[in-house]
Parts: sequence; C-alpha cells; structure tokens
Amino acid sequence: MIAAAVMERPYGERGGRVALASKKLSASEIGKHAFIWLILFFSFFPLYVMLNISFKTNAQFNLNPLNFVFPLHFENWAIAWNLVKDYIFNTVFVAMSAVALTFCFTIPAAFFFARYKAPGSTALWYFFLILMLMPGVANLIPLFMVMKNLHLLNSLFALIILGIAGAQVVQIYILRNFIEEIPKDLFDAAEIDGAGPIRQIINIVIPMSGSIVSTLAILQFIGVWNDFIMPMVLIRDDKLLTLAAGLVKLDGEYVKLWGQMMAGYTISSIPLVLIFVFTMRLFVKGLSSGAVKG
Amino acid sequence: MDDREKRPWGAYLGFGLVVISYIAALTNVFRTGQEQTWTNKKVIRICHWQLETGFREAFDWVIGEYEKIHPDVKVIQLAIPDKAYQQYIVTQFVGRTAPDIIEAGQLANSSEATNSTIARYFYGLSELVYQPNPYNDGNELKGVPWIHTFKHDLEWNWDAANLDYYTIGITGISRRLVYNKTLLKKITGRDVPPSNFRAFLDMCKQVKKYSDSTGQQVYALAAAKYQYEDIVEKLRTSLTVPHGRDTIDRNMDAQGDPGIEPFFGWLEGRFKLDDDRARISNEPARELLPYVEPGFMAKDRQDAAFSFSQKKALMILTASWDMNSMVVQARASGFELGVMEFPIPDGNDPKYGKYAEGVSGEYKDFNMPFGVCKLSRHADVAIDFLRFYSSKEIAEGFCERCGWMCAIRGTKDVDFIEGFEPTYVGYSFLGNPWIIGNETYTLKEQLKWDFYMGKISFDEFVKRYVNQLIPLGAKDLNYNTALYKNGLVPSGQALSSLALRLRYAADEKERDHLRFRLTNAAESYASYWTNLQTTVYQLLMIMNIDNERTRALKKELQYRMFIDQFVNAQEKPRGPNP
Amino acid sequence: MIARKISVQRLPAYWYIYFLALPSVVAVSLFAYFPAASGMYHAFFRWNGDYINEFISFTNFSEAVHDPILWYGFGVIALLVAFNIVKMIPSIITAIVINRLKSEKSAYFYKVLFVVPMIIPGMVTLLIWKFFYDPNAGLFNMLLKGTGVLPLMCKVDSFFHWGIFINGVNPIWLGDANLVLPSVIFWGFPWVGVVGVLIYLAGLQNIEKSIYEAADLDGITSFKKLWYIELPLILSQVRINLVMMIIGTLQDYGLFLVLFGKEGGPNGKAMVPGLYMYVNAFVQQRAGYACAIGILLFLFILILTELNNRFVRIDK
Repeated sequence: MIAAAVMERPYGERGGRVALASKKLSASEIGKHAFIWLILFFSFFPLYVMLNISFKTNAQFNLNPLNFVFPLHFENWAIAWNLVKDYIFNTVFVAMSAVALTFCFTIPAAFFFARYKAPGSTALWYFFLILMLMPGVANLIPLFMVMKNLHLLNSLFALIILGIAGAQVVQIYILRNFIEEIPKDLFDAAEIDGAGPIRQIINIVIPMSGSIVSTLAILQFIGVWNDFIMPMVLIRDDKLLTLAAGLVKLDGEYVKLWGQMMAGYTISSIPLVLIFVFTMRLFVKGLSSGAVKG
Repeated sequence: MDDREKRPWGAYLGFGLVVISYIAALTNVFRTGQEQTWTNKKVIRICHWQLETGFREAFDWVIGEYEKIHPDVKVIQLAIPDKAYQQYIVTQFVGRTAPDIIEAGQLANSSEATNSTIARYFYGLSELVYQPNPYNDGNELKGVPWIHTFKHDLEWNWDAANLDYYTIGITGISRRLVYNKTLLKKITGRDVPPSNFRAFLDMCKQVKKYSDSTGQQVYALAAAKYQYEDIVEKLRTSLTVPHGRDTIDRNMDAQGDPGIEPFFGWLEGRFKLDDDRARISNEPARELLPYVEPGFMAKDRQDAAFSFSQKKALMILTASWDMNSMVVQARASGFELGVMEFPIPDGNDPKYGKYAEGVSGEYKDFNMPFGVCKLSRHADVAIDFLRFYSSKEIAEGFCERCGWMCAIRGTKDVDFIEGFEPTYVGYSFLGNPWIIGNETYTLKEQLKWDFYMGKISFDEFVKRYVNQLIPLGAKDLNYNTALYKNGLVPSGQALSSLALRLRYAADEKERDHLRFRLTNAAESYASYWTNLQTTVYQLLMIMNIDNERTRALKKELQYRMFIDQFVNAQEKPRGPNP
Repeated sequence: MIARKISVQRLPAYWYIYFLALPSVVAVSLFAYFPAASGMYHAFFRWNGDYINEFISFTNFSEAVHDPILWYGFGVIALLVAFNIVKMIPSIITAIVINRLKSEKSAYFYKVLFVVPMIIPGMVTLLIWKFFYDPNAGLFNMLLKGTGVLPLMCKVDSFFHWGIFINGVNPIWLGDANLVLPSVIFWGFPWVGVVGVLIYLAGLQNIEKSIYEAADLDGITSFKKLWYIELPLILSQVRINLVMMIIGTLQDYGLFLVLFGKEGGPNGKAMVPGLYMYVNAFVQQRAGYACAIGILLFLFILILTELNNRFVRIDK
C-alpha cells in the first residue's frame, strides 16, 4: 500500500512539480495511515474477539481471554448452528420474500408518480411524503392490534407484510427520482408501439435500474434482518423467531457458554457478509449516487 | 470496462447463491410449519421461564414419556427468558395466542391485575381436583383425590381472591442459606454457622477480620439484588407480624391484601408506616449490610452465584431452584456445600427480642404453578398432561433429574435438596404494605435501594413515600376500579363449572348453549367479586372518616365512579343461576 | 422528465394507471396511517390492550405531562443527543483523512475495510458489547484489571468519594446506577458509523485534487483546508445525518431493551421514552397511556425536525 502510494502516478494534470511532491512519504501521510489503522483496529476488535472466543470453552476463555488457544473447539460451531439455524432460515425467508414483493409494489407506484400527472396524483404524493416525517414509534401497539385482527399473529407472513409496508415510502421516493431521470422519449416510443404501463416498466425501467434497485434491496434486506422488536412481540413459538429476536432470547440464558454464543453470532453474520462480497461495488456506487441526490 | 466483463460469472454466482439460500430457507420454514401444525396430532404448548440447569431436559423427559403413551399428542415446551416473560405473557393473552399450559407467575405488577388475569384466562379446577388422578393407578395413591396427592393439599395453589384452584405445582420452593463448608471450617473452625442471629453476626465479623488480615478477599454473604430483598423480607416479617394480625387485616383472611388493606389502614390513621415496629424491622438487615458483598444491588443472581462458586463469599441465600446449578458449580470448584435456615432474631435477642414473633410459614410461596389457559383448544389434553406430570413416578423422576423438591406424597427428594424442605408452620405472609398497584410499585422500587443501602434514613424513606402516596395510590385505585368494572368474576365456582361442562359438552348445540350461559354469567357476576365488595366496603367506610388524608384522596380518586359502580351493582338483577 | 399530464377529461382512457399505485397505497394506509390514527384514538382511553377501553379524554396526556419518569427519559435523550453529535465527528474526520490520502488504491482498500463492521448485524454488535460489559466474564473488566487501570480508578474514586469503583469489586457497567449512562454513551467506540463515512466520502470525491495541490502550494494549513474546502461540501450530508440521528435517538429503544430489560436498568436510569412506552403497553398493560406517550414523542420529533430545517441552513 505504501509502496503504491509512492509510485502511483498522480492524476492531476500538472506533471512535474506534483510528481516530485508525491515521491516521498511525508510525515502527514504516515500520520493519516496510522490514524486510519487505529480506527480500524478498534472497529475490528469486537469481531476479532467474537471469532476468538467462538473456538474456546469457558475454561479456556477464563485462562486466556485474548489469544488463540489450542485445541480449537469446533464443536461450539456445531452446537451454535443447531441453535441458530431455524432463526437464520426464518429470517432469510422473511427478508427475501419481503424484498422481492416490495419491488412489485414500489416500482409500479414510483412509475405512476414519475410518469403521469393524473388528477389526484399530487395529493397521493403528499400522502406518501408525509409518512417520511412520521416516526413509527407510536405505531407499535396499534400495529399489533391490526395483526391480531387479521389473524396473522405468530406467523412469518406478518413479518413479511410489515417489511413490505415499512419500506414503501423511502423506496417510492428514491425510485421516483430515478425514473424521472430516464429520458421521456423511451417511454413515448414504447407507448407508440402500443406498450401499456406494465410493459413499459418491464422493458424500460427494470433493466436500467439495476444498481439502484440492488442498493435499495440491500438496505431493505439489512433492515428486515436486524429488526427485532416486532418479531419479539408478534411471535409466540420459538421455531418461528427471526434472527435478532432469537439472539436476544439466547442471551437470556443463565449459564452462558460464551464459546457457543460467539459462534452463533458469527454464523448470524455470515449471510450478510456473503451478500456484501458479491455486491460491494454496486452498493458503494449506488449509495454514493443516491446519497448525493438525497 | 472491467466491471462489465467481470460481471457475468460473479453476478451469476451471487444470484445462484441467493436462489439456493431462498429455497433452503423455504424448505426449512415449510418443514417447521409442518411440524407446528401436525395436522393429525393434537398439539399443546407449555410455557415457563425456568431456564435453570437441568430443568428443560427434565421436562423433555416428561414430555417423552407422555408422548409414548399418547402418540396422538405433541407437546412443545416454550422456555422464555425470565426478563421477557411478563411482556410475553401479556402479549400472548392480548393476542389470544396464549399457550395451553402456562406457568402462572409474573402475570402483572399488581395483585388486582393478577387476580383479574387469572380469573379471565385460566380454568378453575375445583371440580377436577377432587377426582382421583388416573395416572396414579399403579401406586399407593390409587383412588386418592388429586388434591390430596400433594404434600400440601394444594394449599399453595388456592387462590383466595378468586376462590378457586387455578394451578397445579408439583415442586415446592423455599429459600435457604447455602454455605461453603470447606471454607467455613478453614476460617472459623465450625462445621455449621450459628442459627442464633447475634452469633451469626459475630461469625460474619470474624470472616471480615480474616479477610482483612490475610488479604484474601472473602465476604460473608454474596447476594444479588433480589436475594437481598429476600433477606430483608425474611428478617422484616418476623418482626412485623402483629401489624397484620392486629392492625391491618380487616377481612380476616390472614393476608394484607397486598397494599389495599395497609393503605386503608393508613388512611384511617389506624396503621402507621413508621411506628416503632416498622422502624426496627429494618435494623437487622442494616446490621448485616457491612458483611454482604459490595455492589450487590447491581448484580444478577448468576453473578452472585459466580462469586460464591469462586470462593469469594462464604454464604449465599439461594432458592431451591438454583440448588442444582450450585451443586454443579461447587463440584467444579471443589468445595462442599451445606444448607441451613437463615438465622432470624428470636425472643432472646437483646435488641429485637421484644418484637420477634417467629418464622413465617412458607406455604404461600410461589411454587412454579402451571395453569390451563381458557384459550386453549385442547384443554382436556392439557389437563390430562398435568395429571400425568403430577403422578407419583413421573413427578419423582422429574424432580430427580432437575434437582428440585417434589411436592407429591411419598416421593423421595434428591439428597442435596433435603435441607430445603419448607416450613409449613408459621405466621402468614403479610403482604407488602408499600405496594397498591403499578404506580406505587414503581415508587417503591425507586426509593428502596437508597434506603437499603443506608443512603437515606427510614424516616426519610417513609416521608418520600408518603409524599407521593395519595396521588399515586389514587391512580392505582382508579385503575383497579377499571379492572373491577371490566373484569370477570371470580365467584368463580360457577364460572369454572360452566367452563368445564362446556369442555365436556356432548355436541355443538350444547356447546353453544353453554357458551351463551357462560358469557351471561360472567357479565352479571362482574359486580359480585368478593374483593370488590371488601374493597368498596372498606373504602366507603374510609370515606366517611374525615381527616386530611382522606380529603386529599377524595380529590384524586374518581370517587363518583367508584361509588356509582357499587351502587349500580347492588341494583342490578342477579344473573341466572347455573 | 416531464411527466405526462393526464387531464380529467382523458381519464376514462387511462383509468387503469391508478392501479399501479393502489397496492402501495393500501399497504401504507393499513400499516402506517391506520395504526397512527388508531394510536391517536386510543390515547384518549384507558385501554389495557384487551378488554378495558374507557374514555377518559385528556387524562392520559395530563398524566404524561406530569410524569417524572417520562421527563427524566427526555433528559436522558437530550444528553444522548448531545453526545451523539460529538460522536458524529470521528466519521467526518475519518472520511476527510481517507479522502486526503494520496493513494487512491489505499483509499479504496480502506473503504472496503470500513464496510466490514457495517455488515455485522446490529444485534450481534449489541450483544458483543453487552458481553464486553459483563462484570465477570466481560473483556472490559479484564482489560481494565490487566492493564492496571482499574486500581488507578479505585484510587481516583476514593479521592473524590464517588463510591463507584471499589477495590476488589468488578465494576458492573450495566447494573450500577452511576455507570449506566457512561456505558451507553461509550457504547459503539470508535463511533465510526460506516454509512456516514461512505456518504461523506462520496461528497468529498467531488473536490478536485487540483484544489488540494493549489492549497498545498499556497501553504494553507490543514485546518484551514478542513474549514474552507471540505466541510462546506459535506455539510448537506452532515445535516441529513444529523436529522436522522436526532430522530433515531429520540425514538430508538431497542438498545435499551436488550441491555437493560423492562425496568430500564437500575432505578430506571436508562428508561428512555421509547422504552417507557413499550413497558407501559406490553408489561403494565396501560396501552392507552403508552399511545399518549407515543404521540408526545411524535410531536417532539416533528418540532425538532422543523427547527432543524429552519435553523441549520446550508449555503452553497
């Protein structure tokens, strides 16, 4: 890294003087790198601890909290997997279903707002916009009642529905901005060809919106993954709990076997890690573009 | 350029992963869903908060045995962490998704709300408990009515407010002092700590001296927040018995209907919160305070147990449900355990002898009661399971596996739990004079730690409490009134018998008819709740007394509503006789 | 793009387009508007969530306004907001430092690394920190004892007579009334929220490198560079993050629920309004009162957001 910094060609237009300046490794550069490494160290420390403890028994941990100790106890992971697998599968099911279904709702709605200015659409738009300001904190109890009246208590569908409803407003807002960017001519041409709105969406909007959709999808996925209050309140059976609520429940044990719990935490993080490995660039790009707009 | 070239296989791999994981998740959810519904089996669920070592495994054994005999039944155990139990149960009741068998504790903060919840959601078992338990046919308890197969004849489970048996508990609990025999011998040379309070304090002093002199830090007593409260209560009750016996207990049921009766007594001026007895009843705990491990009010019970097992403390007041894990930990740490009663001041004590009245009987203590929920669809299966659970062999096997005391006659307990045998004889549990409902509960919780720690004096504590007592007490009374108005009755014999008849109804027509009658009976009996009558009567009497406290209370109380309700109740026609 | 205008006359030909938005409208009405309305309705009742539903008009609100626990909670939140503002600084500084790196490759490398802590689920981070704070097995106390900081703190304590750090006793970070708030404030060290860093970086990318070089040549100090070049450009993002942070701090109580349980910690020291609302609704069965608290919270947030929009302006 440091060598690269020294040898890299500056992308400034001026060649000579700047090139000279970047050849040495100045003190301030080292300072910057050091600062970043310090921050990174503290950020990663909890993760290191998590991994570390997941291989230990309680006794090993008491003797040697921070170092790696052999033998490594892989059975912690097996036990943790048993404890956590139902939660993970439930959460994967809920999150993926919610994400997939949400776009079926939000893309048409955003298209409606972006493309047409029909009577009443302004009112409807404000209908959605106000919700962005409304904090949902007071909704918990009535939402519980709504679910009770729909007979959806203690089921994963309730969580899916809540995931869908919760993400509507933000997604419609961002998607609308995005669709407005698409040149009008494309749509007009399609309409002349006789394509209805649905066709237009499928043929024009969806192919172009890859990055923004994936960013939104990932954000929503993470939101559903981390939600724990609604699952805790709505779900009765242990087998139906989602991940965050399940981890809280595991934390309620009296005698804590830290090795297994840490292994459980690590296993719980793996799905998100996998997602990010594959969508890293898309996500960073989408975040930047979306953020600058917003 | 690079991105687009790279994208195909990376994206496909990612997408494939997504699809595979979704299918895996779907399969798992579907499989779990199948297990849950078990369309050909009857499923009953049991929930409790006993996450102690060995409990869930012992319960799994019971479930396994039951399912062997009844292959058409599936029993699921739901273990909820203690801290989340109250929220869980409240939510399940409100959502009408409650499990079939529920451990009936931590239902609400105030006793009125608890009584109301029990009356509303649990079946009364009075008719059933007098029938013999068919699962006892193979032993000497054959033909004995279910109620008498318990050592305590279900006295622990009699609900005096609702006048019925709603729960069955097969274990007893008690709290005893557990001590580290090895360490005790080393420090003091004794085998057993003294059972005289003064001598006990001296021994604690000795431990402290030892700790200071050798530099090896050992405290006499380890405690956690709620264990310390137990100690305070034990010491306090023995000194304040006459309050209940002579002053507060208006309705002569040997209980200070927690909060209400002391509150009315206080309003009248008959009961003082700060008389000599009350003052001195907190002294023994104060004397003990220097010898308790510091920082205890922030601790959880597992932290206290940890200190004890690490030999940092000599003794710990523990309840029988924790004994199993204590034994395991002691074995791991390599010392011997001993069990004894917590020493309380007796009549010969120089300071407290004048006030000491004796031990309190441990018959009203919570004992892991399981009740059957009215919302259950298989109540008969649930009752059958409870019968199975409380049959002699199964109960004995269960208690053996989890190390708890067994309350079924003729069973033998595990050796280490024998010291915990509850004392049946003693004074009744007075009830907490400081708590009327949610508000006063919160008030007391806020004030008590400063007081226990000695940061504020007793007078200061009482003063601060009394300052807020009338407004908060009125709020609680208002809420209780709302409960009475909307609650179901526990003149519950009638309701329970109707409910039972409903369960065993012959056909749908009879079921409909019984449901109709049940609802009517519930509504019309709503005004005849015994506690309501007692409370209202007492309150009417209080309101007739004119002193500054009652005047203040009249302002805060929704007085009219309360009295109107009672007057209306008198005029309402009595409901149909069942 | 100019949206196609459809006047009322041409509507019959295009009536079906409303169906595009219909599912969203239904979902949002049922699960966002209706609960809000229902909450407002029930705030005027003594409602226990179940069978008690008596109209008591403004009693819940007057009780809430006089409730010392609720106002204590708002005090805690005010404290947390103040500290959270301070906690936004490390993200900004980190973004600026990364941006100022001469090597683009290492900047990208660091960007990737910073994303990693973000993808750990929030609950896992929360529980790991809870483990850190555990008095017996937690790393915090182990580190403090191992590095000798703890005896030092005991000495300082005995000097100031705080009574918190006692010799030989492990400080109970989440159980001691005096340590609760410091523990909550310290939580999340080093407070580098990844989303914040990435967003600031995105804004900072817009600064041309040539400006830096010119500044270097003119000999402007680092600090002036910060003040005149970088901060103005990321100010809009900072403002957005500030608003979101305030809204989040005001209404989030998940952290408190997990760390402290339903009592809100020892003596209720960590009873933030959101948690108080939850406890009232689901533990004490005073759902009407909880709705009233929720409405008060909502009003607070609304007012604060409005104030923020008016007074914190960005001059481009």
